[in-house]
Order: sequence, then C-alpha cells, then structure tokens
Amino acid sequence: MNVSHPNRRSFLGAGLGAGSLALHSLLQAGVKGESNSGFSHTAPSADRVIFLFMSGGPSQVDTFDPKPELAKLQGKDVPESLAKNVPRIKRAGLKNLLASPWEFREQGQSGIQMSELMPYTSKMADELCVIRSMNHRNPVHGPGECVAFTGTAAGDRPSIGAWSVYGLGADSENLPAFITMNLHSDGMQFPQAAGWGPGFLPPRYQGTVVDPGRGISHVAMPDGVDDKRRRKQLASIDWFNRRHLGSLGHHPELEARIQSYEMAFRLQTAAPELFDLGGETEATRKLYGLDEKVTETVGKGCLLARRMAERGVRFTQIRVGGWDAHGNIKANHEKMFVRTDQPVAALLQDLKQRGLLESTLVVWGGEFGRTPTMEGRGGGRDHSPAGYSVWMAGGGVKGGTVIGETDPIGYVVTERPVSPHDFHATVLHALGLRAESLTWNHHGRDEVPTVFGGAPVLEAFA
Amino acid sequence: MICLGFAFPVDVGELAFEGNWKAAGGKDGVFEIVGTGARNNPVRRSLAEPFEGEELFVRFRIVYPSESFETPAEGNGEFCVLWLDNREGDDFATHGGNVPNIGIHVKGGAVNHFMVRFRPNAESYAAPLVPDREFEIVARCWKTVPGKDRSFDRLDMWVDPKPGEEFSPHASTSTRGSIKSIKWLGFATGVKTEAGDVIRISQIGLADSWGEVVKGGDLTQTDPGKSPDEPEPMELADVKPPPEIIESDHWAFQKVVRPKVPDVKNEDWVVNPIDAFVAEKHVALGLTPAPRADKATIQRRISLVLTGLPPVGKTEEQDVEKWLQSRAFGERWGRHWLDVARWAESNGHQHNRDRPYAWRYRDYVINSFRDDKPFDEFVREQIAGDEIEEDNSDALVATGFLAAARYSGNELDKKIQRNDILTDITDTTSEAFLGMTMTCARCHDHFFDPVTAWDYYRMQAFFVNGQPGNLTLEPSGDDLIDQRWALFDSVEMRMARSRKKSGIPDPPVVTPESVVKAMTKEEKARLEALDKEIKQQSQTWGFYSPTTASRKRKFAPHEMRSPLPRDLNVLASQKVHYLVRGDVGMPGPSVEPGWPQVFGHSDVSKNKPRLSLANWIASPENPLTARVWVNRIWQGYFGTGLVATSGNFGIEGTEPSHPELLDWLASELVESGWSSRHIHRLILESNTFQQSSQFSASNQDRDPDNSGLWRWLPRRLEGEAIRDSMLVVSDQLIDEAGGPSVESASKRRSIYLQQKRDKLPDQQMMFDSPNAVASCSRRRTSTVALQPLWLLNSHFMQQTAILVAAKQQEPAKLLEQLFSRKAGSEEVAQLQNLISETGRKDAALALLNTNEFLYIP
Repeated sequence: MNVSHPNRRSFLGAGLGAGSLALHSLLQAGVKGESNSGFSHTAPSADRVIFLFMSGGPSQVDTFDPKPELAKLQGKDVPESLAKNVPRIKRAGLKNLLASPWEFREQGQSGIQMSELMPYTSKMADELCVIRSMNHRNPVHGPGECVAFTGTAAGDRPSIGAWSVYGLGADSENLPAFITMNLHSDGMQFPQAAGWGPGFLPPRYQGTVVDPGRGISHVAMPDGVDDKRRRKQLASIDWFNRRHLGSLGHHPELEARIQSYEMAFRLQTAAPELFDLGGETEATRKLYGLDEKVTETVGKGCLLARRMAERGVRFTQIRVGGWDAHGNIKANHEKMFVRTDQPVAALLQDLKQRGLLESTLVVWGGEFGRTPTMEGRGGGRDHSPAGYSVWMAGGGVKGGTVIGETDPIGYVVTERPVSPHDFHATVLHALGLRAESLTWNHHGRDEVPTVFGGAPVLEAFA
Repeated sequence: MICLGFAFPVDVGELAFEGNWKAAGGKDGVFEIVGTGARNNPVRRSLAEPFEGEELFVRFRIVYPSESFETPAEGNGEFCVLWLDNREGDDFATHGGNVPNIGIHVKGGAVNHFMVRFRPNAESYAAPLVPDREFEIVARCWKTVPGKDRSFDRLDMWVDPKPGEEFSPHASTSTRGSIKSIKWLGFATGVKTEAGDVIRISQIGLADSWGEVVKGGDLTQTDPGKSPDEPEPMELADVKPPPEIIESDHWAFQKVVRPKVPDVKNEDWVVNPIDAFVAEKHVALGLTPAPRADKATIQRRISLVLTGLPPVGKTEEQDVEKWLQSRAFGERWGRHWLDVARWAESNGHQHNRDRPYAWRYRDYVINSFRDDKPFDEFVREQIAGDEIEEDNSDALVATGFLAAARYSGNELDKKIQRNDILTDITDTTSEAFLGMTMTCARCHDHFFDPVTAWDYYRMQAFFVNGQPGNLTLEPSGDDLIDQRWALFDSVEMRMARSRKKSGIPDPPVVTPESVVKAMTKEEKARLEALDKEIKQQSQTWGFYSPTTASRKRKFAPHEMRSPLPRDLNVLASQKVHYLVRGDVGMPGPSVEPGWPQVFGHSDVSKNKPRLSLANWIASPENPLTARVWVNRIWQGYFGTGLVATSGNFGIEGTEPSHPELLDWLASELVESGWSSRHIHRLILESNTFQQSSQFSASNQDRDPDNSGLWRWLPRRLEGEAIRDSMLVVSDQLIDEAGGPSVESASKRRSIYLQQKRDKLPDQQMMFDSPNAVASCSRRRTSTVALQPLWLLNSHFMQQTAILVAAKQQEPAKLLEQLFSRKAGSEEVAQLQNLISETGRKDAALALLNTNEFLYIP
C-alpha cells in the first residue's frame, strides 16, 4: 500500500470557491481537499494522531511515576504535610498508603523510569515523552472520560478527534478521517460516545466506530450483488438524481448527496482492504502478538491503527477498557499490561521502522490516575484525578523526556501542571493548529477546543 | 495440667454465661493455662443461650511470661487461642476449620504475633507479642448479613484498643460457611506450646456492642444513615450584586404589536395575509415568486410535512383538516417537540439506566399536538404540571419535559449531581420556550444578551425543590412504596454499619444494588414481591416538588447506583446559590426564584413558584413565547424559521427575515387562544407554502439563500421519516398508538422505538437526529458516505426493497407509487432497463435511494 505523506498545504485553498462542492462532506469526516478555510496556524510536526486511551484509569505510581517514599510509608496515613494539598475530591482517600508492588528501572539511553510492568514498552523508552503532571478534578469515569476527550464533563462538546479533523480535513479519499475502536469494553465503564462525538460541530466530524473484527458497518454488499451490478444501480440512482436536480437548478446539498454514492462505493472497496490482515507477514503478526489469546484483541487494534495511519486516516482512537483497579492493583494491572504492553510497543516499533512515527503522534493515557492509598482492604486503589501520567511519542515529540512532577507519594502535582485542555492544545499544536484560533461559531459564540483556556506543552517538542 | 475452678462473673447485656468455667487454673481472677506440647483445651465455658445475633464482642487480657516465651528463631514459637464454637468438645478437641480463633500465632515463620483466623492459612495478624507485657485483646465476631441461618463470617481484632477504633480493627479476616451460633468458648494451646509453658489470662468478658466491651470510652456511634447531600457549612464567596436596572432595545425583547397587513400589487398571488407579507418582501428584493406547484406535488408535500409519511395510494385530494387531526400528525410534530425537549428514555451519562415509564410523556406530546392543546396550556403543564394537577394526571405526565434532563447515576457528589440536573433544566426551559440560550450566563454575565449570572441562578431557583423520578399516577400504590422503602432503608442502615466495621472510610458508599445483595432470603423475597406490585402501578417519569405540588406523590423505585437522596426534607431544604464561574465548590449568596431582570419585576408565588414562571412564559404579554413558537412551526414547514436560529432569539441570533410576518403570526396565535392548528391552517393554505421549487437565475442572483421565499426548497426527510416512509411503501408499517417503547426491529413508527441515550436507533444516528443531550432546535443535514451504505446494504433496506418489488411489478406504477406522480416515459425506460440488468429488487432499491424519494418535494 502506498504510504502517503501529502503536503497538506498543496491543496489548502484549492477548490474553496463559494458553493464549491468539495466543501460539502462526502466521507464521514470530510474529503481530501476539504480544509475548512485553512486552519493551519503553525508548522505541523505530525500529520495524524493515534490516541491510545486506557479507560478506567491506570495508576501513575505503578507505571511512570516512581515513588520510593511509598514503601517507607506503607500502611500509614498520608502525612499531614502532603494531605493538606490533596484537593477535596470525593474518593480521595488519605488512609493506608500502599507501596507499588513493582520495581522501577531506568530504561533506554535516556534513563526514563518505568515499572517492570512494561517489558516491551520499556524498550521504546527513548521515544516516549512522559507527562507526570496531568490533573483535573473529576473522579468519576464517565464524566472523567468526557473531560479527557472533550475538556468538559457534560459530554456535549466536540471530541479532540473531531476538532482535529475539522481543523485539518481528511487525507484519504476512501476512508473516514476519524476512526475509533472500542476494545475490551465489557467492564463497568461503557465507552462514552462523547469521546468520538462531534459536539456542536457538524456530524461529519464525528468518529466512525469500527469493530476490528467486523470493520465498518454496512460495507458488505448483500449476497448476489457484485461491483458490476452495484455500478448499474448507482448509475440509475445517479440518472434519477441528476434529472431531479435538473429541475431545481441549484441545490448544493442534493449535489453532495449525489457524490456521496461515489464515495460510498469507494469505501466499500477500501474498508475491506483495510481490515484484511492477510497480507501482513508472520513477523508482523508475531510483533503485535496476534496469535496469542491475551494480546490478540489489542494487537489487532494496534495493527489496524498502523494500517489506518498508512492509508491517511487522520485520527485513530483505541479505547482499551478494564483499568479500574479497585479490588486489587496487582492483579488488575498485571492483566492489563499483559494485554496491552506488547501490542502498544509493537505499534511504536512498527511505525518507526516504516518511517511513519515521525509524522504520527501517538498518545497514551487514561481519564485519571489512582490514589497512592489503598482502597478498602483488598489492595486496590481508588480513582484520582489530582495527578496522573500520560505519554506521547512520535509526531515531533522529544523522546526520552519527562515533564512535570508530583509530590513524594504521587498524589498531587507539584511541578508543571498539565490540564486536559493543555493536553488537547498540545495534540493540536503537533498538527499545526492553534487551539485558540480553531473556531466554530455556535449559538453566536466562537467556540474553541480549549474552553477553559489551555496552552500546548511546547517543551515536549524537539 | 493444673486446673483450678474459678467462677468469673460475666453477664453483659442479654449475654450470660451458664455454669462455671471448666478446668481452669490460677488465682485472683487469673487463669493459668499450661501447655502440654499437644492440642489442649483446659478452659471452657458455656453461654446461657446460644448467641445468634449480629455481632459478639469478646475481651480478655493476656500475659506471656518470658520464661515460657520462645521466638521461632530459637525454637518453633508460641501458640494460644480463644475459640468460639457451637459445641464444647473435650480437652483435646480441635476448634479450627471455620471456627473463630483469636490469639497468638507465628507470622511468616519468624515472629509471634496476635492474630485472628477461621482456618489455617487464612489468618490476619495484628501487633507482635512481647513477653511479660499485659495486652488487652478485643475481638468482634460478626455476620455481614444477620439472621439465625447466617454464618459468623467476619472476625476482627484489636490489641490494646482505643475507644475510637471501632471501625478500624487491627486485624480482620473473613470466611464463608462458619458457625451460625456461639454456645461455647474456650482457650486452646497446641504443639508449639511446650509442656510447662504458662500463659496468664484474665478479665474475660462478652458484649454485644463496642461501647460495653471497651472500658472508659465515649463510644457513641455516628448515624450511618446521614445523607451525604446535607449542606455542609461553607464560606460564601463575595459576588458583585446585579445592576439595579437592565434594559435592552433588542427587537425580540419588545412586546409584540400586531402589524397591519400590507397592501401589495401582486393581489392575485395573495391567498392570505402570510402571502401579503411575503409578497411585500418579494417586491423589496425584486423577486418573482415561483408558480404554484402541481397538485400531486402539493399532496406529497403536505403529507410528508404533516405526517412524515408519503401519501401512498391516496391519489384523490386529501382533506387537510383530517390530516391535522390525525394521530400521524401528532406523531410527526410531537417528534419535532421531543427534539426541543431533549427527551429520551434513559438517564444518560455512564450508568445509562432506562426510564421505563418515560414513554408517557412522549404520548402526552403526541396527543397534545393531535388535539391542538392550546400552547399556553402546553407550556404550563410542562413547567408546573405537579403544581397545577388536580384530577388531571396528564399535567403530572407533562413534567416529563423537565424530568428528561440527564441524571448521572454514578455521581457521589450530590451537589454536583443536583446542579447538573438543574443546569440542564434551566438551559432547556429557556431555550425551548423563550428562545434564549442562557448557558453562558452560568459562568459569567452573558457576553451579548442582557442576561446576568444572577438571572441564570434565579431561573435555576424555580426548579431547586423538585427532582426527577418515577411517580405513581394512582395513590393506591403509595402504601406499597412506603413499605418498600422502609424495608430497603433498614437493610441500608445495617449495611452502612457493617461496612464501617470493615474499615471502609466514611461516608460509607452503599449502593442500592449492594443493599439488595445484602438482604436475607426473606427480605429479598419481600422486596421482590413489593417491587412487582409497585411495577403494576401506573407510573410516569416526571418532575415533582414535595414543597409546592398540589397533591402528594411518591417516588417509586428507579434502579440507580447513586441516586439523589429520596428524603423529601432534603429536597425541600435545597437552595440555589450564585456559583462563581459555575463551580459548585464556590457558592456565593443564595438567590430567590425570578425571571431575567430585563423583562421587569418578577412576581413569584411562594406556594407555586414554577406556576408563576409558567404563567409569565405563557402570557400574551411575554415578548418571546408566541414568536418563538410560531417560528418553530414555520421551520417545520420550510426547514428554516423566519428567525433561522430558532433556539436563539438573542442578540447573537439571526434577525427575522420577515419581522412583521413573525409578529402577525404571533398575534394570530395568541388571539386564536394559542391554537397551533390555526397557524398550521394559515401556512398550509398560503401560496407561499404551495410554490413550486422552480429555479430562477435572476431570483438566485438577488437572493441566493431564498430568504425571501421565492420558491420551495426541497429538503431531506429526517431519519425517522425515512424509515417510516420505507415501512409505508413496503406495506410493513404497524400503525399502533402509544404505549411503552419497542425495540428497533419493530415495524412501528420510529417515534415508538426505544430512545436510549448513546444507543439511539441506527437510522436516527445516521441521519442527524439529535443525541438527546441538549435541546435541539434545528437538525442539521449531513451527507456522508455511511448513509448510502445503510440505504443500499442494510438488512432493513434489502427487506424493504424485496417487498416493494413484489408489491408492484409494473415499472410505471412503481414510479408513480414511490414518487406520488405520473412517471415520464424516459423514466420508465430507465427503470425498465435497470430491472432487466439487475432484477426487480435492486431496481426498487435504487428508487428508494433517489433524492426524489428522500426529499420533501
């Protein structure tokens, strides 16, 4: 498959005359050439984004934010000097600190500290920029997930993916610009549609939900219909539609509808090709763990993410459910990293060896982190949005770096706080978009992605 | 074995020992237990009655003399336990294997510790044992679910307890299937206790509460039933007071004055005053109106606009009046209103639980439109139904408008939970009836409109003493509901206590689901029986305020993880505060209900505040209500309102294209007694509505957006109407009225399909239906490739095509049926050709995909 690195600027401004048909979306999230009047504010360092969302909230102190102090304070209450800084959020327990059951080691040339939970991702440490100072105030999954994707808890604003494709338009004529996959979503935390929703943006910017096993819905033609027969049908639809349009003179929406049939036909071909992994080598299958039961699901999602990146999908989102380690942090995180560590590392490695990592921003993180204290008596941790870790890689990000700091027990951010809005601004920055200038007029107000303000974490970029 | 009998006076509460200690040794109230190097039970005593209650405390003091003491490092350590059992056993009996043991054991092969256990390898350790020191040991043996037939499944221990430690034991263990009653207790030693080792035990006591067993502590229990919603005292932020006077010269905030109908030259074209206003604008813009559409087109247009169904088989001219009074009309126009009301049948958010009785509001809306309920009454019932209903439970059902707010069932912070609902209701009410988007004022004074944050919270205050829930329509079920909650609350209290004991931090989180799980078999059976009976009572998902409602209503159960407190006193005590930047954590002064200051003085009744609001909204004097409503009707015909931003009549909204027409229609509405049907008739008979869609280059140049209404612009059917049209042309439609919603495989009209948030039916989502999260005044039309895929490949469409093809085999007739007009010969030839190439089904499917079929002509 042809790996495209189109120069976006080459078609910016092209075909944007008033009434131009190209302006009306043909594919779900726009077509190549639809640029929404040139939202390109700065030089982009990435052409696309892969958002690996770990739903349920991975624990920072067991992954990317080592806290040796916790071992000393095991079983004790949060010391008063630290407790006074813990925001009064429901569920922010202050009793019974719990040491991480895992060792941390310095990884790669850069020596980023990562826990032994991630033997595969550790090998990619020099690609990662870890932000240890994410924080917000919502400790509940659903609203927290909305905060992570849309900036507010209500779930009525556009997702970061929708803003991205609104700002950039599509890069593929045959596939949706924004695709999302929900994996392992069998637990308590249902995927929040706001996470790929368009909010008040036009619906075409919404993410297309695909099941890695089944692809895009209704793509398959019914039994007995082949391309040739479908072509004849489409030709007739086109004939009737043009005749109907002829009497109306001018009606851009009807013209767009006529074109949407051509797009649908192309999608019918492109989508099965995308989901057909038959052409992948044995080595690739192995790399992603496709043939192991535990890694198969996320492995397939990650491999598809690479294939989408190759085919010009702008924004690919993978949501992996199951990180809600209330009962037992040890059992939960071991299970979840066995599921995800190898596939995620494989994605980074594979993108890199194909020369795609430098133009693809990969981000990893959950809706919040977890308390350094034990919840109840089972060795679990509760939700905690007061300080948690995420990472970014590729797409111009300076690898092997750590940004921000939390207190000695990993509860509260002490240095360089990064809000979800800052994080969204950072993703948009990589795409060459300035959050405060990416506007959409809604109810008379020029809405921007970062409703409560938010500035990109510029030091994350090389 | 040295055993001296000693009568130890223990009689705490209802607990009592029976007889004397068997085989004990020592003096001055102290037992000396002597090891034998083997299992030994030298000290035993029986209780007067077997203890089967919820919790039994036992206390004793213990000294392990250093001469008897051996660490595991030097030997194999020590062992001595107090056991509680339902049988006595003999001197050598083992009281282990799911029998509570409290005492000393070696931890990790290294150090002697105090411990509790039910079985080997399932123990929990407290502090290490120090020789020669006297320790006070307290243990609690308890049942997580009380009952004679329940096991003592938990065992907690304190070493030298302090009075406040009731809920933070030093060691705890649990099991399943332990003893159900305690009749005997005794001390046992084992192989680790060398022959000759002496252990001193004293002050053995029993109690059934912590307060009795621990000496000298003030041990009053906190009430676990305390509502987390109770207001905590908080410092109130200083907020700039509102300005004394707010005035605005914005057109929409001025009273409606009935305009004079203009005299126009193009008299022939004018059927009624609507046309006169439109013709005046034609002249002003230099436009020539399109000719009247042909009869067939008008028939199809009216049918689709009024009912959302194509006029299949109805070739003769239809009686418009009949259409206006049909259920199908109510179903289509009701759906328009449901968009505005952001109505759905589930809570939304993450724990998106169903609202099984929400359908009554949907039916209320359909019936209101079908019956042409006066719009002012429609307003009053929806805003204040619970305050005005007497024998009219319809009005209570109407509060489903307010109750359609989303409700986060997993929100532990009750302030946030309540505020989210209030915000939703305030935003929706002001947008739906007043065409005002007040949302911005929640965090700051509105940037553009003369609305302050004070106004916002004053609006909120109308709703603060009510909340959504399942409400019974007949009082006959009230007693059942009381019984149900009494049972539920008693178990919840018990649970909260037991959770606290387990060390779960305060406030204990007890979910309704876990309460049910914790019930005994009998309790559960009783609950299920009650719930079954309650379900048979007529209910509606409505909004109810115990402080202002005209009659008492009960909240029936609604399954949720963390609902708002049911306590009506809590609800009655709620107050709205000005929130700095909309943050519930930063309350300013409290506010009283009132409408935005720009509309003048608020005269709000204390007893029926929402009725005051409704009366103000539904008043002929209100400058917005009638304008906003006739504009919504207009949009239902032409796709765009006279004010294009039909949900925003504020300064940032668009100016009306025909301001005088808007005001004329608004005064017609009020003068007709708020009859929507009257407005429908006027529009239907107008020439403006009956124009063809004929193109004109000169008109197009002058008015490219058709804001001067020089022709009819075809527009796509909504997702519901697309599906319903398919059902009609394939004879699949099951045309039944009302009732609980049905699943999407059903062949009933789309308005009756289950409206679960985040899981709305496919064709609705595909074709731009709103997501039922916020009020939607106008749907968008997107044209994306996924739509043709559904229209071509989905099972539903394939089935429809098969039936359509089977129904009509004559190409010309098929075209006529689908397009409601005579087909041209070229069209017939084209279709004939397609049939011969692809077959009937695929040809029919192609026609169902055409713009002509999917657009209102």
